[in-house]
Amino acid sequence: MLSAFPLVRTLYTGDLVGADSWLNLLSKRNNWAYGVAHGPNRFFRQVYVGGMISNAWFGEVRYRSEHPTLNFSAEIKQSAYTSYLYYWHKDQTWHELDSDTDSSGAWAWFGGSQSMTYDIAALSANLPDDGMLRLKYNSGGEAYIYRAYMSGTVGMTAWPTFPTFADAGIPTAAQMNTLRTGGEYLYERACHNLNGTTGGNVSHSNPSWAPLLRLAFRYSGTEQLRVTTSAEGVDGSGDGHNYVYVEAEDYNPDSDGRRGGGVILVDVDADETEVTHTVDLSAQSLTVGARYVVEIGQLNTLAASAGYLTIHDVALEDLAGVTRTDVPHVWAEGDEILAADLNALADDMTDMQDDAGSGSPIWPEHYLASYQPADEERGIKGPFWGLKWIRFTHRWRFLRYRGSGRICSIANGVPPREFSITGEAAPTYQRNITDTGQDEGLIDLDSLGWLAYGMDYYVQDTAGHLILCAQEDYRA
Amino acid sequence: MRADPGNIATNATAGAATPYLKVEIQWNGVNWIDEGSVSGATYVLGASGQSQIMDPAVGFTSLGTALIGKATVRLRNNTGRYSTSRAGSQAATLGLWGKAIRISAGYAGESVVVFTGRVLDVQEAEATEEVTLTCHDPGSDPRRQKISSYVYGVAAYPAKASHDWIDYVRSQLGIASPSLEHGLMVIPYAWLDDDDGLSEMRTAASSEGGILFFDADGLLTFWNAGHWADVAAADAITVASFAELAPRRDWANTYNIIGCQYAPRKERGIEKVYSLKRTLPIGPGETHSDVLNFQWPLASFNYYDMTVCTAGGADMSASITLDNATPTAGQRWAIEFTNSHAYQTAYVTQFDVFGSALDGRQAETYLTTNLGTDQDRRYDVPRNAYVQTEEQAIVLTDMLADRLATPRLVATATNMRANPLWQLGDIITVTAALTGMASDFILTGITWQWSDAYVMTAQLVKADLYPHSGYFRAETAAGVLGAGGNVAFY
Repeated sequence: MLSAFPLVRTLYTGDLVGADSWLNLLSKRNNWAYGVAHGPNRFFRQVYVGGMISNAWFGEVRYRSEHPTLNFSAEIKQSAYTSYLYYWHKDQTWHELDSDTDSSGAWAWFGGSQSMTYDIAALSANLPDDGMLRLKYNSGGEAYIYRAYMSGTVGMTAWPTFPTFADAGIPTAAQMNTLRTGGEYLYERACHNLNGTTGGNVSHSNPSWAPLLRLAFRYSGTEQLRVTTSAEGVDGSGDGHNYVYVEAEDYNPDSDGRRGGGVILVDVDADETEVTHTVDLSAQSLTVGARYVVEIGQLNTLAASAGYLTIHDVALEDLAGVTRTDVPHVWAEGDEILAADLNALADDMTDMQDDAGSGSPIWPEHYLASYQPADEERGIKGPFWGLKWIRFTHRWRFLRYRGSGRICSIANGVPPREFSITGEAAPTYQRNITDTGQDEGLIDLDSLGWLAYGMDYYVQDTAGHLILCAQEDYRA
Repeated sequence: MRADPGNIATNATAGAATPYLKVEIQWNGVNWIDEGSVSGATYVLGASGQSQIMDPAVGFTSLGTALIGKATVRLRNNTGRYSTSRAGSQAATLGLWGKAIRISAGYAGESVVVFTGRVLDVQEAEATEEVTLTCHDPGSDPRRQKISSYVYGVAAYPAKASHDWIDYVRSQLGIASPSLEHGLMVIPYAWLDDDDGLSEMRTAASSEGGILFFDADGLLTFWNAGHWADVAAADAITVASFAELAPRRDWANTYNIIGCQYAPRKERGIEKVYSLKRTLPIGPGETHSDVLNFQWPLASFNYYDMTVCTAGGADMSASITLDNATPTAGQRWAIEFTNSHAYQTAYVTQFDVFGSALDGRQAETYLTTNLGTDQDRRYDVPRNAYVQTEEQAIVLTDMLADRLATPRLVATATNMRANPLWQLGDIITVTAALTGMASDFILTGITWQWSDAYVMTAQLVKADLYPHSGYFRAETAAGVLGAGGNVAFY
């Protein structure tokens, strides 16, 4: 919905300041940015690797020069083999980006730091023609891939210093223009790719706890977690459980205790048709701006099974009671221009700034889309994986994907037939997609007449085909 | 009003002072040569001219439709000075067609410039030993030029406010020293594809209700729609000033529904925008020039695919070079293929251009209604390619809804003793007891004649274009915030 962000001219000394020609455009910009900042958000999918294995994790994102820094965080435990991080070169081979030879047999940070950064700008000439940064991780032992995203604001608008407007005062044109600049700052940061939520039917047969899905996010302070699931085959004894936790981003069950002693946010311990569970994250003592992970897993006991859990959707959204402190004013020709209304515009933007202290920030972080774990050879230990779809709330115009499958609508609010346990309903609309092998697939979602912005949809594997990853992008 | 060099304002009303006229021609393209004033020199016999920022034949809705200013000069040609066919004459030596010409007028030896332009026609008369020059203001020049550009509004070429785009186009046309007010709105996407530059600048101006014309000095001038907000009267006239004053209400241009169609643009994904439809043979050592016209303008260029071979199909790509490796404009590529091979003809069998194209979305119409209890009278703003957003349409229609709500008072003051200080757009206070005139008017047209006397006719439109006064202007005394401060424009 980029076109809904209005363009506003720079104001110069002596210029007329109009209602619809200037002031209301600022309000519309704020409203647009607020909608993005408070819209449903999804996650970076973390991966756990059970042992020494090649091709343990893949991720990709469109490289953009504004965001040249790769942020990568992985925790590894290896004793004999080396771990490697590769990038895909335009010569059609993998080139090493980094490696770690740690052989302590204890948990350590890949590359020696929890927050590794790599300057991809220096490599950008080596990237393939489609401009995609594709990474591959070959594991030398156990590993958690916690974080992989691009950052940086090269050439982007700087945050303005808003004046305090005062009635009876004459602001300078430059001061007025800060209201314009602030909108552009937020716009540029709001334009980042969107990952969907991986879902499907999941289970494992071991008589123990196993995480099924780890979804990382940055907490913005006003959110609730929405988890939509259905379950079948759960032992009715009450001993089989499907749990949802929120943990620190770098939660490692081998070395970390659970947050708050292991607060269970959702427990599905009986068969259920599609149910949406909401969790007020503001009650979970999370720190605004810090990173966390939603962990969904199953606990089978010797006596009971947690059955099959269908993960329909996991998303972050505004708490029901969240209100906007500074709602932009709407001016009409002939209205006096009150300082309070200009200050409210500035305050509203400050609330949306990508600052850890702000609510609803718009972080300029471009997360890599993790590939689907196709099977256990991907290094996923334990559970049977049936993660077959990626759910999106349509926001950006272009869909990047790798693999083959289809884009389909949600019929009557339930997922498509093939993977639905209950509420059998076929998608009303679908379109088959396939990539070209070397380059990623790209589809202009505006070409799908049935798909409107704000609508949920799936990018889905179909029989015999596999969607490896998908992202919505704001630019082709 | 122009600055008075002395006593022109006084002499324009006094009636006794001798009119004065000066005609200058830039024979060598650099220096102005005075062809001699009537009061003392040889050649100038008379002149007339007209300039307008509203088409009187259309009425008030045409405010902003500036016609090309014209002037006619009658010169004595007893020496054959202006005859290009007369061997050795000034015109034969230096030429006359297309020469810059400047006309100044005034009283008692004082003058100000009332027209600047070019000589576009020369009509000679053998028996009467006269010549008549027909001259146009500089607006005639860009009408003959065709220009192309990249697409502005995408990442590499940021979107422009209307005056920025006008400034860009005029720079492409080689028009120097413009006088441009800041535009009110931003034009999201703009590009040129062998377009008429003057027409594009006018269209861009009218996309926000602005006006574009060349003033008496030949300066390209852009006024935004707020040009007359809170502007005080520059001069005043009474019954003593004119032979006749003819006020009337412009009923024909009264509307209570204003419609404006806007056509959003969007960038598409990467696709093929051009494909060579024929085989292009290029002989050994030869260069072939071509202009590739794309199906859609390119918001961004990505790459091209080219296949070059001999008639037998052998690859010749190593022998072909291009002078421009990327498109030279948004919708075209002026390109030269050079075949460096010594004896093989190269056949370009494929040349496909890929990029992100820009195309239009379905057009929409924004309506502002001002109905009251009256019957519908709808005015549709002429379609304008630069009106691409609802925001632009809102500003335009809201403004027009106020301006066209009631029959506007227009007036013509004829046979006035000419005041060369008056300029298009000046606010003139008109007082006339019989017709009850006591209002400020905008001077939208001037027709002047200098022969036995120096007279003019003024076309006037009542100046109450805006519902309020005291509009907020940034960083000025009229930029006071708060209750009792300045108010928002449209």
